Amino acid sequence: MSESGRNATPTSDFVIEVKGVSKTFRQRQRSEKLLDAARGLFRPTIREVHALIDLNLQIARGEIVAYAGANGAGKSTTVKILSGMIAPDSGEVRVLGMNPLRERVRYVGRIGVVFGQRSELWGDNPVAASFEWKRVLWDIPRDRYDFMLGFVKELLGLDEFFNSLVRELSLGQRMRADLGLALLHEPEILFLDEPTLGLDVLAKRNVLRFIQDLNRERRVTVMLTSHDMSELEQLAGRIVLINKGELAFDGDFTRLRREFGERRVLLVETPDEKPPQIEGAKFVQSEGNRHEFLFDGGQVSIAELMEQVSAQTQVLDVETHRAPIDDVIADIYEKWQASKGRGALPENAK
Amino acid sequence: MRILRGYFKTAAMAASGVLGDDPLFLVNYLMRFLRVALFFSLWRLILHGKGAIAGYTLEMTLTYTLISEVCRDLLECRTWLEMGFWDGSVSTRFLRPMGIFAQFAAEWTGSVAFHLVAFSLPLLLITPLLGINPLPANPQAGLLFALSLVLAVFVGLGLEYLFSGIAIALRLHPYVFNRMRGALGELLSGALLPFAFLPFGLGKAFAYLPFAGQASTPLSIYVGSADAPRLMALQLFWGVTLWIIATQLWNRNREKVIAYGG
Amino acid sequence: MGDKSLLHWIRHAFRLWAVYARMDALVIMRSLGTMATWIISDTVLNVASIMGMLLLAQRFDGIGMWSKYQVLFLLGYGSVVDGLMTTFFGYNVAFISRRLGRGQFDHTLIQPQPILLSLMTEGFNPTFGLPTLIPGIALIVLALPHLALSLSAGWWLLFGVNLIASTAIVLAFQFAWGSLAFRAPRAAEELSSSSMQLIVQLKAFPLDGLGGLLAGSLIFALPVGCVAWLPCRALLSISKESFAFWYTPLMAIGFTVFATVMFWKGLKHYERVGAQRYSNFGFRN
Repeated sequence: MSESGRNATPTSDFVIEVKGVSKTFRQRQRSEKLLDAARGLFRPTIREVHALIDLNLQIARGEIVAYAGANGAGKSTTVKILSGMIAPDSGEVRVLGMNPLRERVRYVGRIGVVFGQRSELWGDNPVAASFEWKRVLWDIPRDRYDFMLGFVKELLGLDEFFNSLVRELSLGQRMRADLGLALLHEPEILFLDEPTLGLDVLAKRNVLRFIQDLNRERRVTVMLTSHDMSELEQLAGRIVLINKGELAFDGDFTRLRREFGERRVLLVETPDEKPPQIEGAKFVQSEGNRHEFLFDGGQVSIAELMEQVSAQTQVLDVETHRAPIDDVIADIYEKWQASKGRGALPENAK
Repeated sequence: MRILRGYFKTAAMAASGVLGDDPLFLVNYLMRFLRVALFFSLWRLILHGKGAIAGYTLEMTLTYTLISEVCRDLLECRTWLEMGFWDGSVSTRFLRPMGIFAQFAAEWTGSVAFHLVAFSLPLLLITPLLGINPLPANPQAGLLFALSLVLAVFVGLGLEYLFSGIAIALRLHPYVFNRMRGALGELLSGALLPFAFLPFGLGKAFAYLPFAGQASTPLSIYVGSADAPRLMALQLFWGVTLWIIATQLWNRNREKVIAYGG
Repeated sequence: MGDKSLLHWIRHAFRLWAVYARMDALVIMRSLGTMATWIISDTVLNVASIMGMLLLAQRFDGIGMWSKYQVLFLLGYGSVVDGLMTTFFGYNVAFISRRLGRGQFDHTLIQPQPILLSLMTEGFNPTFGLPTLIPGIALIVLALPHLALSLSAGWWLLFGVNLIASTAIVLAFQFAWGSLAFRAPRAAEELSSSSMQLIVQLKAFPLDGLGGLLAGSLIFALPVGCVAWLPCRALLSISKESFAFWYTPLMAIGFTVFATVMFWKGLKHYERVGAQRYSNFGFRN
């Protein structure tokens, strides 16, 4: 990347600034009936899908931001707008001080994009050929290329399959190669859209570690979408939740848990197989004489719950921990679905 | 009965699937029309005022070309079986309670039925306006043509089944495979040119190949220039032979079939 | 073009062509089987696609006002145009509707270079193009000694100009039609392959004797006549008009402008809606 490119610094402390962005798609409706289908050829029924509604977002340099939401919430639309692939209907987007769409050529030289479901690698060529292709197309100076190639090869363990045909790679290998490729030109911002999709636990852990190292060592700003909430919690200091195109939460995970209920799990072992009745806790399941309950730590204390259990039966063992973040988020999604969206959220959550 | 219902439902889905898209299939119709119109003009250019050549008059040749285009979907018999394997979409088909080839054949039936109604029939109706006689040489030729057409589909599907099996067994790229098969098939089947017009005795040689049963046989029966019983017997022979070979090939390559396309 | 000079981009284009040529050779040399399959199948395909017309010309000692060797030249010219398309605009550049319909255009958008440069370089695959180019050149070489032509430098220059113009027309036609895939990705995904099929099948047809409407539509709407027939009429002196040499280049300019407008409008639409579908299938093939 040229020095002049790097000098185009953002206008504020934020590298990503999204102001009042909205995006609506028009989706053609189709009938299963032949006659309606024939009519639809000439008079189609159109449904409007509001992918983003007045989205405001700011991300500072060096942050790792988790961008989450249920299917169809607008995550990929946001990533596409931020990477200059599509234009918002209204609102303003500035990334690294540039308009991604209007200054595309200069802009994409400074960002990296990885879509978990897509590959930037050339299927019928060895991995090495795609890297060499990237060097030429991105015009990466030879010394920087050699340095970065060594860096990503070591961190991602690319050597073992660097000369294999891309079509013959496993999903984990392909993702590692794609990540390495995305970093060759030393992007300042990395957009990762579900980068661990379909990976096994080990491959996932390696990818997550790599992103953390990259952020720490090179101060790369990372915006990452995923459906795996524990993965996001492990990686990101900040989570942005989006619901039906609207920003629903922007803060850290601790605040998220607090605002949406301090969900905790209580495991009690008693001499009986019949679970005790506990007011303020929801019975989940029993495995023999081990009973599992869920409760809101903000509403009721463990001491109060244990008092109730002791009054009914002898307590052999007790264990409590925070509910997995996935359960917390699933609850939130469920609430949103039930309330058709925004109503379920406390206003201050946004 | 349940299998038949499934077959027809799948065919109906494929037929309405054509309509589910934007009306861009009309562009293909336009291209097909231009192609056949160009052939009409070519024959007029070559054969005008020359009387019968190798048993074919200008009028017979025009009818031959017209019927070839009208029945093109039936004569080509392309189910795109190998594409389903290449792009991996076949995997979900293994979960359906119907044979793989039957599913593709059902979809083929549906789309062919649609194109026959939407393109072939109107083409047949307007060609008298272009000075082309769409009728068979005589009623008997029309009847034998119908029987031969059924055999042509039998041969065509057999070839489709066999070639898809070969493509999968050899792991050929479907793009290359399709283009090559399309170009060779058109020439060797007689869909493009009546065999009678080929030099160096090529037509006589081609007539014995299985491809001839796909187009040349029914088309030459239609225009009344063929020894129908002999050619139809050849069609039947090739149909049975192809199906036997293809079934054997598929059974032997089961594992490759699953792995094709990665 | 950003802040970089034209010279920079020209140099960049040559470096990219070199990279793509190497990658292309790597694909075909993946294994001996792959190499044999591609070379044999492409050669068979190219020979088969012109064989019908060749056999007719042999059988009837020419077609209409075209002698046997003039038909041979016509077929050769058409094959060379086809070969140039395969050589310079492979990897689904000529089949642009596939890239658009499969949502693969996003890959082009995240490349730090003008879209035009990506499209003009990414399809360069000389190794794959050779089996199409060579038979075409061979047919022309076979035909030329039998044609009463004065092969001056001027003739060769006009031959080259017409060849480039014919190739530009095919590309423009592909892009003009293919741009519909910006709006109807699923329905139009294979539109480029239909239009290319039309061109490949009809490129070598002499259009003499066609009615005015049909001939006009095959020149101005679906320009199969410009692929070989129109330029060859001029190059073989079948057309006696002195301006005939310039018909195809002028048509090329018209078609290029039209295709550019269509593609640009499609691109603007794409900016609004993006790609709603994505398929890995045939990625860059």
